[in-house]
Amino acid sequence: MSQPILEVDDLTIEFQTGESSITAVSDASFSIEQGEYMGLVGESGCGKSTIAKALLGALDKNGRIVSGKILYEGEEIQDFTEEEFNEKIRWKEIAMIPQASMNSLDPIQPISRKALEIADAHTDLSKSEALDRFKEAFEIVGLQPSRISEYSFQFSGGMRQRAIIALTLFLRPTIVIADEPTTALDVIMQDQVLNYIKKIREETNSSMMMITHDISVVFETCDTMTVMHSGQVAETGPVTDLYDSPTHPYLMLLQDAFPDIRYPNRDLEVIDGYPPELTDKADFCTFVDRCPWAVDECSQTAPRLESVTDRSVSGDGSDSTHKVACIRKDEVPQLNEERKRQGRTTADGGSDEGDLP
Amino acid sequence: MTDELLLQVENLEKYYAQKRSLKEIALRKEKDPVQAVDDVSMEVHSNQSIGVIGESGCGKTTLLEVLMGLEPLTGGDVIYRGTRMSEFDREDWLKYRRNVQIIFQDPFDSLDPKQRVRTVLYEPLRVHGIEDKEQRAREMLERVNLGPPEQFLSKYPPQLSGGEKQRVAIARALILQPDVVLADEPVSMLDVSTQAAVLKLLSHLTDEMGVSLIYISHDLSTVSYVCDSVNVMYLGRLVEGAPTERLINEPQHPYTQALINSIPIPDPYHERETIELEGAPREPIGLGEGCRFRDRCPERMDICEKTPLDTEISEHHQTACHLYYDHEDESTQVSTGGESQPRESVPADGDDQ
Repeated sequence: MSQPILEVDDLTIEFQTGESSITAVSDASFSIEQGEYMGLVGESGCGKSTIAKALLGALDKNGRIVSGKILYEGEEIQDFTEEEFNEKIRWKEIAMIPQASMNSLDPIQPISRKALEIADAHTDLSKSEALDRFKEAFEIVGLQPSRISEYSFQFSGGMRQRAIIALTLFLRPTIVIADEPTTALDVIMQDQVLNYIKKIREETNSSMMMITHDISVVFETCDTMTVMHSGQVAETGPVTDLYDSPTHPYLMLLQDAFPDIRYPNRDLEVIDGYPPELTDKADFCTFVDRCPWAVDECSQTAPRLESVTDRSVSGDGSDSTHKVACIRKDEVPQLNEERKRQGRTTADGGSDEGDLP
Repeated sequence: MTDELLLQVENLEKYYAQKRSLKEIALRKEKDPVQAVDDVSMEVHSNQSIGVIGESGCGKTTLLEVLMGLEPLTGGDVIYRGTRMSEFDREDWLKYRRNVQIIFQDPFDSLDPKQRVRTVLYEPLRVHGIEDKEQRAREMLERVNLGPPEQFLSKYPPQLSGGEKQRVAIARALILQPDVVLADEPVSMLDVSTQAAVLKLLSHLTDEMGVSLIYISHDLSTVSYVCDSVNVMYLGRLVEGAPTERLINEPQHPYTQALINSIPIPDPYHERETIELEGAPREPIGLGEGCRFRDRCPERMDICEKTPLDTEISEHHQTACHLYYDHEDESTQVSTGGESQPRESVPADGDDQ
């Protein structure tokens, strides 16, 4: 297995709010390889956008990385200064499609001028080289290259979103971070945008970190998935492994809570309770209050992220990329089976979907 | 179970006048109105839950606002238990507003942050002169799983989570035991984990209390958990309507097909076939005659310049598309454009069980 392009290692991020502090991310670890699309999933406030900002050195002023490392191509970047981030990382190595990006273009400047600004700040490209690259990027997202000098208001909402994607792409970043790229879009528009996001992979060799709460989008678009709950990474690995054998109780319940148009009569799972508010680094499993199978030990120590071995699809297990942070990881799948069996006395047949290859 | 016709929407039309500039007013220049809802017909029977889906801007929220009486209608009519809304007097409105309730999209906005839950729940009871407020409010809170009620009654909305707020909104809508509840994307602002709980609650309560539901959303996958039948709306018009499962499995109108195919499936092995639908709907201004989907439709034909007739293609399944009827027979009717048949609705106990 090749060296990952991005490694996040035991990252802890804290925000200072007046006298107290809030821990947004606790000991989070995951990695992304060249060309890999990873979905970062979790409910609002679980720390996913905070991680994205940390990768770009763009945490809010009151936020700081308390411990842990961010490795980009093997180099530690978590302590980079603003200048170093500008010079080495932003836009050309890691670029971000911001949330609600349709509205993030300046209406009084042509889009191409924005591109030139970015190129000027981060590269040595000449003006014409930069514009050529921007035209190429326009083509990738299905916009006419001749339109690069137009203003954002001359584009429709969906086209504006694509223009932003073109801006993100034109310096050929190695990693694209997409923060909720389709939230708040209608399904049809969402589908259009996702198609362009998929196309990025065909046209460039970028990796992607897609932040979303929508697991169906991740299952369709991404190779791997990292599930977060309240600042902790609950489970990470290839989407097919996570789909076939979800091992963290949160992911199991989340999968069953998610509506699937194919099974409109399936009973939806309900995840009770709310994530805890953390003033300190979590030294317990943050899912403990919501977990149907929690034991005393869960609130005494933070679970380590460990490989899922016994049911691993590949068999050998030891270097499995499917990892979970649950001290009962070996028992939970069976407990879940039992719970489902009991729940299925009112069998509707619709929920039986785990029989695919 | 008795099957009563509660609400009849008859060729309903809601046009908004566009703002005119001073110059335009001086020159007496007219502007085309915004055709938010155009010629929509449907029926709501007792114990029925009907979904209305469509993209943003298709007029679904306007439809609810008119049904609620928040916006006056500009054409057609709404008939509630035999009385026409256009002829409602004060008494009728009072009765109507007691029996038709609404749950808004955003629970963060629809509850007054300075009113305790108690005040929120008492207000409708007070307006309609109902005694034993305390008793009813407690019962209702228990029904929406906000227990113990004493604790919640004295809370303020900012002390509640999103899911709890929406439960309070549901309690407020149901406390008068209405006939019909209108729900405007009630779960779109909630996280997936809470969304499932609220959907289940809504579905369960409307069944249990015998309340009919009109549920509007852009997301068919949540609608399908709650509704017996679904209508699809595009640019102010209903283009298709069918029992939920039928609509999902056998969508007929090209727009419905595109809408359903664009829903992502939470399964990495599933290969979804996508229909690439370019562009966005037009502005609903000066739409004129013809099928409103024709500029984006993959099946576009010449005849689409004429307004398609609403046709029943099988029991309880209607669509307004030129692909599905014989133009030889009905060409005369087609060219008249306007009149569509009232959408027949599915019996209460639906056949999608």
